[in-house]
Amino acid sequence: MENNNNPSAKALFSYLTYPDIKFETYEPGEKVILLVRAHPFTQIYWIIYALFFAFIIYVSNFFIADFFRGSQIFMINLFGIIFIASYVWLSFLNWYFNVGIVTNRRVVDVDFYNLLYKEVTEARMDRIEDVTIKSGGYFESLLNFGTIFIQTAGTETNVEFKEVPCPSEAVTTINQLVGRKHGF
Amino acid sequence: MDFSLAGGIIFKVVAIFVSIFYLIYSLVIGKQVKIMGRVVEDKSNRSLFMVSSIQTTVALILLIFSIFLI
Repeated sequence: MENNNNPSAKALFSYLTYPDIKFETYEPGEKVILLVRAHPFTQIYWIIYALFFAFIIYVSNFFIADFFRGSQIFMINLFGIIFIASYVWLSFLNWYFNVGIVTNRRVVDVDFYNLLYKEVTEARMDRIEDVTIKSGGYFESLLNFGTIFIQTAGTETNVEFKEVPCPSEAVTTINQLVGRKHGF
Repeated sequence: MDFSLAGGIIFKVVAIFVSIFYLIYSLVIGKQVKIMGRVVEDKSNRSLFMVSSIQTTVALILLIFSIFLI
């Protein structure tokens, strides 16, 4: 597995093998094997909201024309467009930086909540006891994505990769790495 | 009292306040993108910093419009 170092991407860069990245707690000699993000399908809701808001702004122009001057209507539209653009940008950043990383030594889960709160959870391969997939529902089955739970030994925090694509492939990779650490 | 003039002033004040808040928000987001970029270093992070800078520039333009255009 580690001999195949060709980077590859699946599901719109939400499943990357051997990505050329580094992370905050990166250790020298550590090799990033897998980087996962939530499946793009799970992000469709904010695209729909943004389109809906754009529609609202468009429709509201017919009603506000009688109450405001031309320059004021222009500013209202500008504020509306910027509000939508900011919402889309914030949602994209939330998706982009909430990642799960699998290296040859550990698994790392990086979570940002509303961009302002950061939570980094990690588990060393030799501390991983059990890896399970939770995948159910029509879209999860159709598009092949699900949540991976990584249970660690003792009091260490468990790691969770939410709604990632190709969960069974990711689990196979993690299990192979865990097997090596445990000497199987 | 001229209500259209009063309405115009209120609109302008609200627009300036919203623009200032948006400028602060865009600066916070720009700072956060830098922090997040350090947590996960990627080749495409430079593009993200650029978009954040554009957002701050747009916020400044919005503030200028709010002061001078309306």
